[in-house]
Amino acid sequence: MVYGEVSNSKGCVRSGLNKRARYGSFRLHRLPPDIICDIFSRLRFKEAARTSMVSRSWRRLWRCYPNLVFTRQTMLHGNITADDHLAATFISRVNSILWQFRSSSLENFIVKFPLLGRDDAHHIDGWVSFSAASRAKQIVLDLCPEDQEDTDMMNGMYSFPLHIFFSGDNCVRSLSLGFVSLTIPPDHLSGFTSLKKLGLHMVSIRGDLQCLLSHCNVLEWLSLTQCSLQHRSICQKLCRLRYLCVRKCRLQKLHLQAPNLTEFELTNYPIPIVLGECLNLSVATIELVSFSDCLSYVATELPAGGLYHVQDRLSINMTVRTEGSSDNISGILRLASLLEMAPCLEELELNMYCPSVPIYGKRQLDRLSSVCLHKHLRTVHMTGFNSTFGQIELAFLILRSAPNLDRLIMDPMVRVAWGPQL
Amino acid sequence: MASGSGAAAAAADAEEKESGSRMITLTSNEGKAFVVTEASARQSATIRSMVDDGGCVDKGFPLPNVDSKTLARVIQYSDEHGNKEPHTVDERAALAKFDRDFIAELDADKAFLYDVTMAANYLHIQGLLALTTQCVADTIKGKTPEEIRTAFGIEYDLTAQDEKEIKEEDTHA
Repeated sequence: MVYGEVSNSKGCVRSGLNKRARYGSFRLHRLPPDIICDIFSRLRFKEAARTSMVSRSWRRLWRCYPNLVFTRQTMLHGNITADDHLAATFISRVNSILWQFRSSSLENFIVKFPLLGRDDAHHIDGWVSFSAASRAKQIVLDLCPEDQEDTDMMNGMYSFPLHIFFSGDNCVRSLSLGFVSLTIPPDHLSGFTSLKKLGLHMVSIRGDLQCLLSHCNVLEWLSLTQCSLQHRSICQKLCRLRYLCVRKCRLQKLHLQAPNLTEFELTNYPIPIVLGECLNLSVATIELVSFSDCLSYVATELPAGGLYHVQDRLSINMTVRTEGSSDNISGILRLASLLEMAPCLEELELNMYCPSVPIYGKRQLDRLSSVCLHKHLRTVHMTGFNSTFGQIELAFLILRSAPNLDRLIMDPMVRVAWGPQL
Repeated sequence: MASGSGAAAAAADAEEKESGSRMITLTSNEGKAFVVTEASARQSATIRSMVDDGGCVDKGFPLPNVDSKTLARVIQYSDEHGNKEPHTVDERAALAKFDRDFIAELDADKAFLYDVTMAANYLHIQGLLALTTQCVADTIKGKTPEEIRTAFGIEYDLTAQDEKEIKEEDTHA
């Protein structure tokens, strides 16, 4: 059987050799499409485009180029100066490239340019349809204005046609949207079965984001930054989620079941947080945007919500009132309660900004003489140390309660940015 | 590596007893048999899956899409990568040098580079395929269309009409 096949194929060999003798060249166009695509993916866009001038058989090969990146840098390199024509030029160039493309296995489709739906929706609709039809694995549509303070633009936001992705099987693995509005229908959602990464920046979300998330079964990475949410709570089970970032979205409640979560970032005012089953959390960064004192929230709500389990590094940025008053007299020393919350702590970095000298007169140390020992604590780094009385007391307390301390660094440099904004 | 089917089988048996690893016979489309170690053959995902599926290891594997010259060159690559596992920095550097020399030889003969690329694709040898496709890409990089034609031995066959169309399509680039 083996040799039968071998002798049969001899005919093929001869014809193959004859062809080679005739052409004697590298027949790029005869390679399988995915190999051609792989070769072009190793070139820059312009280099790939230039190959259309090589020969007739090469003319359309480059159209399988798998990465389409449309940014100011890639599209507007010439000497265009008139600013008002920038958008029009950008759009016509993108359209002229897409018109030629017939890819059915696009890797990346990236548009980063400040555009408004008010003016250019039908062009952008065409691009999004193209990216879906080309089965792009990564889609980035970032229309953020260069001047992000210009809130007047919000009214003209492009409305992202989510429904294009509901029909059929789409293979989007990563979707990143900036400065668009997103309307999420309450039901009949499907698609995004392959979506692993979702990033929304300055996205106005109408409807309930949870309806979308509940269909993203393989989602591993989720970032919501400066989004406006109509439903301002997220209560979701996301089994594959590894990374979650929610920044400045005015969230009111976060209740997450994510057994594989390893990294968590939140910038918000203090809200109820429950991270259920998140036993693998290794890094958490929490910035509490509030002018009022957050220490009791941190001491009670966060551990109750599951942030106890952070294995590697927990960073908390918060306001702590240290002035001292009749009902709140312990001043800076109250920070010592952070140590009580984390008995296994090995390294404490305390970046302080004390705008005024504390105005309590009584020595507090006697009151805290029965502090527990922190045997694991090895390094303490205090910045913004301006030798106010409370800070010295705190350092003294740490020295007294940490028998295995290797280093205590007191650095006068202020390393925290002041002024929470939401 | 040995050739000639009878001697090959005997050599395979002997080698198997000696080293404890099986020998596998690959047959080119001209009927020439090449005996390689299993470790070398497993560089090919195609053969690996056939071996793991309990395929006809004893009978060997006919490769109707690969000629002898190409197969010999492919085996040269998979022997180097399959039979030696680099552990030290020096060994890794030696392997990287082997790859550079290997691809430099192919680069000088573009028609043969094409055959090796097709064989690497057919046999699913990812490392080799990445080498050859990168070599093709490097040949195109930074060259004018005329230079690309020279490098690959391609005749210029675009008509004036073609050129006009391409220029119209391509005003941006």
